[in-house]
Amino acid sequence: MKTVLDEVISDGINADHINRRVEDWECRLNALYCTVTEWLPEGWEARQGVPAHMHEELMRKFNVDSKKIPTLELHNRSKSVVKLVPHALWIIGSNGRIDMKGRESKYFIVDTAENFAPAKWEAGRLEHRCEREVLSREWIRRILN
Amino acid sequence: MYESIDFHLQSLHDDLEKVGSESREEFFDNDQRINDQAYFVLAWGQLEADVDEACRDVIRSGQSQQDWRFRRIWSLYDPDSRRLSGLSFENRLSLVLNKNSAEWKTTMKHYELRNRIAHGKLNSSRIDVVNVIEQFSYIIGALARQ
Repeated sequence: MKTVLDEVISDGINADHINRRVEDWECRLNALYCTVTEWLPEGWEARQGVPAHMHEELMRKFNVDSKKIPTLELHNRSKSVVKLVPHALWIIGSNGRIDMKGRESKYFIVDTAENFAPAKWEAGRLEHRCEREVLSREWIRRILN
Repeated sequence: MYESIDFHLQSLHDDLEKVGSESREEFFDNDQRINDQAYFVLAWGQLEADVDEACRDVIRSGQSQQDWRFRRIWSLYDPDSRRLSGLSFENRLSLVLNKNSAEWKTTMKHYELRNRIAHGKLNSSRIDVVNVIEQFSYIIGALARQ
């Protein structure tokens, strides 16, 4: 199953596959949070956020238990907080999305790679999704400054 | 339009999340999924129209062959008929894309999804409509016209 679309229209997936996908999602999230933390500009720090509850439809369909997945909070000296919270793993057209919410702006980060392939993160404003770009240190710094 | 509606629904969802109203959050989640699927079907309609148009071009091109041996098979189809002489979508697509290509396979998977949605089986997963439209544009660019 190369893509979420394959999974959604297939009759050939099982609970084991779903569990592997959830584990892979958690690994990708942790790796992403490490990268974002490394890229933070001066004056910002990352803290582990309150874990999010994940129990998507495909998990329920195959009786896979819900899971607590990591979130990340970015804090700066002037008390601004930006939260990175996973939106969903199974999104047709991408391989998982994380929402990035500050007080005023909302952004998203999506993995455009195929299932179980190394992540290819892209990011943009939720209001202007056509204008997304490859997630980079420069993008993180631009939106936080 | 799609982005505006989805962003509005997301904002309503986020406001409710702040006050901890889970059932209302789910209500807006569902609205977002329906909005995704409505725009997916609209985008599909555009792709299907482009496949049909390319198919008509291919048939006309075949019918214009000088040599009857190459022309005769194309005379079985009427490029001006609304249903393209009853050709199924799979066959119409096979006239304009190589059946072994990634584009053909991806299109048929989207067709399966489109059929499920259009026949009332609403999908439980969200759709990245912007990305799907990009894929459709790529497919339209790959269609043979002659």
